Amino acid sequence: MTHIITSLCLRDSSCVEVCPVECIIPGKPMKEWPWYYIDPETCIDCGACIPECPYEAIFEEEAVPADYNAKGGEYIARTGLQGHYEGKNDQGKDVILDCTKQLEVGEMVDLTEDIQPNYGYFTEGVGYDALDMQDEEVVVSEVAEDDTDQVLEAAAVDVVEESDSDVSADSNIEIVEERDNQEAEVSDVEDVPEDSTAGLEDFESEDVVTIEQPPGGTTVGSPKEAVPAWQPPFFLTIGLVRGLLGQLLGTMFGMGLVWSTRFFMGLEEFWAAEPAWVVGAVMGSIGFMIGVGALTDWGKWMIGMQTPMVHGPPSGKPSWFRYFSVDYNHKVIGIQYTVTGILVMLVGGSLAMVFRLELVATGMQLITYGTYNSFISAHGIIMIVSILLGVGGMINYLVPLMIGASDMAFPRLNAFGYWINVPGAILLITALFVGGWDTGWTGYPPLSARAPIGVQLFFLGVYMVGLSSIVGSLNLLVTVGRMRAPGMSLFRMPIFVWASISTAILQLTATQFIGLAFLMVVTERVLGMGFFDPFISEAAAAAGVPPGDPVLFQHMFWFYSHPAVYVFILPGLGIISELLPVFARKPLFGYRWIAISSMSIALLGFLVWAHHMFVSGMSDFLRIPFMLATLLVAVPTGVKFFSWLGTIWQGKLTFPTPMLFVLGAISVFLIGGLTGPPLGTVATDLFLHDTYWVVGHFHATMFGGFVFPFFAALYYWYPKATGRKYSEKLGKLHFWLMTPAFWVQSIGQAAVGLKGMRRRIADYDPALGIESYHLAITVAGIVIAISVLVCIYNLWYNARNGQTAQDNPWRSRSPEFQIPSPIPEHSYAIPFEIVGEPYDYGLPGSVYTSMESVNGVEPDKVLQ
Amino acid sequence: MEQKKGVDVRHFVVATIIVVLVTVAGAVLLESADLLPPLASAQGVTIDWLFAIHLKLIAFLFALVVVFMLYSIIVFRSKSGDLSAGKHIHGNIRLEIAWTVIPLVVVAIMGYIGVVTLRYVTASAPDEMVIEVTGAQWSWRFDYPEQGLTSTELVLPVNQPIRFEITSTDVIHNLWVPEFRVKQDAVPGTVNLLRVTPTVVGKYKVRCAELCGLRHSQMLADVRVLKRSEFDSWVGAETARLAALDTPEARGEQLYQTQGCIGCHSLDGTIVVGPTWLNLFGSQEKLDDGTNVIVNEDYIRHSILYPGDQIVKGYQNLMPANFGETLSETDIEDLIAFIKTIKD
Repeated sequence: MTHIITSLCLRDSSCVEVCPVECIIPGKPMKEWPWYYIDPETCIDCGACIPECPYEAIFEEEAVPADYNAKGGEYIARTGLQGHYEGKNDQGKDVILDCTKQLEVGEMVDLTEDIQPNYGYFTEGVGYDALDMQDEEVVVSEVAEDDTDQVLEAAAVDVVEESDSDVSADSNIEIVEERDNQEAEVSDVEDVPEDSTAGLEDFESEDVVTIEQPPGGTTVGSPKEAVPAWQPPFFLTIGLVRGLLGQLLGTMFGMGLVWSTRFFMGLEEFWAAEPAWVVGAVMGSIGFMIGVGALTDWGKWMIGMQTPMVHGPPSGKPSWFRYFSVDYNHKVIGIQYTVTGILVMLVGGSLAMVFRLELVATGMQLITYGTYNSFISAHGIIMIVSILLGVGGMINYLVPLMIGASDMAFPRLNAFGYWINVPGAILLITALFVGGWDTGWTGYPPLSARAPIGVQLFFLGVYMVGLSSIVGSLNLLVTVGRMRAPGMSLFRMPIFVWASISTAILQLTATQFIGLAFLMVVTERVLGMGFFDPFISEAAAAAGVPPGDPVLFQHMFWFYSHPAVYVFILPGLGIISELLPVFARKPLFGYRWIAISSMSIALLGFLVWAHHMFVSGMSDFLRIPFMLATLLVAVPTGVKFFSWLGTIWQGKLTFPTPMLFVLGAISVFLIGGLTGPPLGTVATDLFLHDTYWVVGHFHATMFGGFVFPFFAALYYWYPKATGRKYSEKLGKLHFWLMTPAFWVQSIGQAAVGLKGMRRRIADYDPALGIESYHLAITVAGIVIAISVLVCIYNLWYNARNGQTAQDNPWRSRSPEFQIPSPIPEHSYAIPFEIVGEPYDYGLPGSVYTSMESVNGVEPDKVLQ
Repeated sequence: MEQKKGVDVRHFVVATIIVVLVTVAGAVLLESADLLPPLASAQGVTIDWLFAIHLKLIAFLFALVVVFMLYSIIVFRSKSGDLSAGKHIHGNIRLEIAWTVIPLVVVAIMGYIGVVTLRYVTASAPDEMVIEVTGAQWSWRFDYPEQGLTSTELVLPVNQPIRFEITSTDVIHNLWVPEFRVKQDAVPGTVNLLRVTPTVVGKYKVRCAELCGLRHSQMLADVRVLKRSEFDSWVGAETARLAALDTPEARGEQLYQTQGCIGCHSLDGTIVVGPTWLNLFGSQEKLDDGTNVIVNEDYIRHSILYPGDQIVKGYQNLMPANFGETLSETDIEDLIAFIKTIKD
């Protein structure tokens, strides 16, 4: 709930003086933000300002007239208008505006157009930072300006210091007072009463108790230990920069620690590379987390300090700043995950381009065997990390919105969970430069026990990313368990939330196994442990030490890594189920069956791991229960397919880009699904195992289960997240390039697999006669890469330049589409209740959330 | 209302008919396509039979999903500007039960078939011939204990059930001849079994199917399936050839081929993974710690037994460290004798 100041405002400041919560901020720069704005986050809807406005420019949000009938002679001030206005405010200061229009008697104006700018000022404009900014029209001289800047900066630092170091609920007041004083001082120095702070003079401290936070947020990544006398250069305040420096220093510290220890132990080769890299990688990751500031608040708690929960963009910093630093808002973290995921995907995809080109012809043309093996290994794990990041992005951004929570249950843990991925990804990429590794992403010993040093960084990088999965899933389960909107029973949750908790259960309970398995190989290499080494020394054998077992690793590895593929696909399948009803204008067919099928896939996922080991030499009889469990997965997967068909059957289908990607996802996931059963029955698997059939199957499940739905989600929620429209034309171009190309690639891979093409080989026998197939696969791969670049351009360019999007462009019933775009800092200004079923499209008079009835708008009737 | 229901049913019937047609077309297409390599083993017959069943299932399920999807896309697309909703159907409990139970039954049947075919594929025969297979980075060795032979080429009598006893000296490899269909990992420290009955005389290739490091793609071995009489004469010839290896140099050459040396050390000067043996003996090499060494008997013996100790500069430590267990003292002397002969 909020009030709105409309463009009838001509910068009179009397409203500022009466506002008890100081939520009215003058627009700056005036060319872009010509009037005054109310912060919807802070406004308590008291209405005190309305009678004060000489221009009658302030309205309750619901009461803003769409057909304002001009009395004649009044001005509206909107960017783009050419009229000139000169007047005075209540303090007698000049007000000069060059973007006005004088209205004529009876002229009709739609003032609801001013609602978005009022919100936009706090999401896109400077917002509270205007209080620190100079008023351009009252600049006296250059010299005065410089002086003022310095004083202002110093004042800002003081405030930041104060708010970070010693803030409790009570001291909020002090800070605001402090700020107030300083700004008053500033005004004195300049000898020009600032209209923006005019109202603060009558400030009464007891009124401030209702303020959640000091005006102008600040992030933990901002300079904590900054001495007021010295301010670090701007780039050093960016969390990411500090994190990278921390990682560099931590790595050097870890390496130095190992080398000095070995030196003082008197070891001859104290400079040995491998132990230094291992300890350096661990210390570097810790250094990154310290540097970026993800541990700062916890550290403060340990020494008894309290930390404020800061909201909003940091003050005095550009708007992109919070995305590169620790921020606790789940929407920011969701975007951080997503963008990082896309960047990591570009790295992994580039590697694929290189070795796909190599495979066009037999013989080695571009790269060596060693590079090839390193690249396929890195491609595998980097893409998996990218998928985990994408999954994290979708879940973090969407789940709190969908269940009506203001944020995740543990915002600091959430930020930790994101940032630990960054040193992890850096380790994985660094691994390529310290010898690479030739084990594939599976890292089976004994091969991984003798691979180049890169394999250690690979293991530790995966370890960090796994940590992120564990803390992220814990956070998600608590959030969904405890923070759902009133009335949202389990079977009234949006279906994507079901998919998310299925995924989270898998991540929380299985990830430990890959971490443990990898750690055991790390210790086998560095400390000489013999977990997986079948060849032990005669002395050890004589002492009764049993030999290590290479197959044990595979059990531990696949106990995570099979469920992991369901971690990748379940959210994607959830996206398909989430979007189909919207674009078919029809309820989700068999909602409960789909929800339960997600959970059954998750649970069955724990019982099928050994189907990756049908030819490993594990006990023969074990193959039968694992074969049966594997085939059983077809049943809940089938339920999903049939329910999707049931949903679109007799719907009213429209095909904007997100819907195209959903349908593409079904077609591609179908290829993945159908190539699965021959791998499930042991006899056929004995033939197909470790061939390109598996490569085709896996890529089709990943693209159908994650990549296509991920793109669908990107396009679908893009207007919600950015407030702008992407280009449909480019979106469709992306789809029509990527989908047929993927069919070619997938079917081509399956076909060469049947012909005898083995997985992970740098070169193949010309006698197989499959060069033309490989050429087709490579061309298809390149087309896919180009299409992804088209997508990135589309999303990047339109984030700034796109047309303004409507709040509910898809006529969705989901709660996040009932609030403005882009979503305000706190998402839901008022808590809502769930009063109906989520997907009752086509049922007259039905609503899902109480917001829809409040707005009096039924989604089916809103024009697109 | 009645008429509306008739329209609904008509949509369903039309789509079902198209599904049947597409299924038949798809099945015929998949069957006529030459998807698999030639078949050359008894076990493969069962596998190909099961794969054919899978292909028919694939054709049906593909048709089912794609036809209903395309039908919906084409027939139920919203006319431009039409903002009304589709039919308000929440679900259908009978349909849901049907498409849960029918797949369950199909899965049960496929599971049963899966068990039976596995039994056929792994069944033992009374008159099996044993061949011990040893994988090493990046070569294969085949020992014929009954014939007392060792070979780097896999020679098999046709229609003879073979039991491969597979192991590895270093990392995990996988024994696979695509024409025989079946494969099995070679795991160091254990012996895995694989049963194959070759049925077609011809030449094939063993292709390692488990990533085993640098030269994985080149870890191949020739396979010859011979008539029984030809096989017997091959055994005779090999036995005679091995018996004729009365000089250390000749025995060394045999060891070079069978012990995996050939995988990394060339005789013609090309660098594969390890140093070439051409002109090796007596040369001076620079080690990775900067010292120089003259390649003599002692150095070679030491490097065979403890390969990681003195590595020549520019090479990695990749050589198996367990030759102390697999080679006798005489073997090592034979190898050194052979190395001495490699000069241009």
